[in-house]
Amino acid sequence: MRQRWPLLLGLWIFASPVARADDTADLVAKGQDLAKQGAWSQAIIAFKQADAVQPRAQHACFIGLAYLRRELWAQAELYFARCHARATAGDPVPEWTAEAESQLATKLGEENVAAVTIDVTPADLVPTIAITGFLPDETLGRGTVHLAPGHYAISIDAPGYPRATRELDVKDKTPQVIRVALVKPVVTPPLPPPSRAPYYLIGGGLVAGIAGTVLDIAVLQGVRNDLRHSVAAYDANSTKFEVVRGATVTLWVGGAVVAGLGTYLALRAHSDVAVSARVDRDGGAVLIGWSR
Amino acid sequence: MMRWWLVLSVAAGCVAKPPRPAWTKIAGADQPGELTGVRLTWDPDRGEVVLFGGDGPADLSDAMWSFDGTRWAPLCNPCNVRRERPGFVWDGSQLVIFGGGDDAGHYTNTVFDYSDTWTLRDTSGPQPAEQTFSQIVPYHGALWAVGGYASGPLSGVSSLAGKVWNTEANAGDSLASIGMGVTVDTDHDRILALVDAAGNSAEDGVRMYTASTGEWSVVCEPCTGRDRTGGSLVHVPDHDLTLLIGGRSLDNTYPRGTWVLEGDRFARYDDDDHMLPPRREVGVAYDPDRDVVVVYGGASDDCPFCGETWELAL
Repeated sequence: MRQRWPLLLGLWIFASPVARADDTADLVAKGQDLAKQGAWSQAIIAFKQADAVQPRAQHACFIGLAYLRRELWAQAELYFARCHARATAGDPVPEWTAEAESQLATKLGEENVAAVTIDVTPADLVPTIAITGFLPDETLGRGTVHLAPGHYAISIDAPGYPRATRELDVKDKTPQVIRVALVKPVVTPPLPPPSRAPYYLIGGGLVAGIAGTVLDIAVLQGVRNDLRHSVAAYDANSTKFEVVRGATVTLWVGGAVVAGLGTYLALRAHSDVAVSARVDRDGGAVLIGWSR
Repeated sequence: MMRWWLVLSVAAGCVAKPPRPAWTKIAGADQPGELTGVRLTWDPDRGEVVLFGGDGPADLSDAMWSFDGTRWAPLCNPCNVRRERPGFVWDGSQLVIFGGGDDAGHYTNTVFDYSDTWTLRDTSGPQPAEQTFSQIVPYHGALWAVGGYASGPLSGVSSLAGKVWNTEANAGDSLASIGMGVTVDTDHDRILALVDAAGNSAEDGVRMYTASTGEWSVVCEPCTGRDRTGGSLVHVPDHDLTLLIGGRSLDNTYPRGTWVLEGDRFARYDDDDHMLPPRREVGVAYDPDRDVVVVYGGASDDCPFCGETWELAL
């Protein structure tokens, strides 16, 4: 059977109705001439150039046929599949294609190649699958491809999904199924700009604490000393002392609480924060601890 | 993992309301016994007020005690000093006794230092008069013997630097209290001394000595409106208070209450509801650790030899 293929190809080429005057027709004619000479790789280049100008089912079938002659079964499968996918009434699948695909099927049954099915989910995706050893423009869709023994890297792309990659080892004709579940990335909403409110609270608390200290030093301690001066002074200044002390302690405690709250709010997003308070006869304390 | 802590604290002690001035009797703190003319001083090494001597109903006390705020504990008894109405003070490194009458009734001008036992210090220079009713205070690195009583009330002043006596400016008035009539006002860098003629004349004055002038001057005279003898002065440096405690007037009545020095006059410090009972010749000292003035002993009409401890919380 193999000896008949050049003859058949020659008949098909001569019988093909591609005698156009435009560039595409010239490129196709050039590919056909190269094919007649057995220059399959260069013929493939010419057909691909034509296909780049005007993608057609016929171009894909010519490329598939050329790959078939080069005995690159997987690439031949790929382009015959493209040929069928593109076929329309105005651009039908060439008549010789059935015979070529039959030859390809026979070879795939005879040769040491494995049917590799790449199952991509979600099922409604239209993936683009690239396999090492294939040219960059020779990407596959979902389906089965026959690969000769060897190691392959497969990358799967789909709009809106991050690229997935797999490693594949083909050792014999054993069919393999590669299941690839593409997962959309979790879209994290952008963080809102950090609020300045905690820092205003810290600043306000510190200002209150400082104001309390100033009040304590400037007024309260003086009145406190007056209380010790005599009973008469004690009685005269007792109420004043309690008022000033109330204001001082309020500023201190309020400042500590506000500053503590601000510190908690400022740190809680980044740290393990613990806030506690302690009051006894000797005084009070707000304790804020955090770890990063 | 780094752990950080932020502490915002408020010390209640800084804003606590002081107690209303009031004298409180410390129950059960009468171990030194019934005594008048005792001497008290603050001993920072012990962190306690220390008491020496005093006249008892039957005999002169030769004991020294320390007070922890609850009870008195003996430090030595007898102490083998046996001095009546000496000067007694902490001089900055040790306890010191100066002057006082001895067993034979003779006045002395000797100095004893305490370090587990009392030892006589050899001194030189112009010696102060042999005396009783002695008062001694630390001032500018020396011990100052102020006034006292010899053949009569004294106004002479001497300082003892190490082992050498020096004669200082005369106070110009009698400074002979049987109480503790001399104190150092560290807030104003001066010695304050009650004018006291040992009951021979009515006195109501206070004199002061400042190192900057090297002279004695009158603080007030009259000071309280009541003459007195056997009163005591104590300065409280933490609060800049100088208190006048006890004493008796020539008419044998007792001026009421405790008085505080305000500039160039004294004003009543406590009130009648919480005052120290009438006393003369009390021992007094300030305890800075507990912020109290401690008074022990003294005498009054109903208590000729008092054995009570009183405190004034500040």
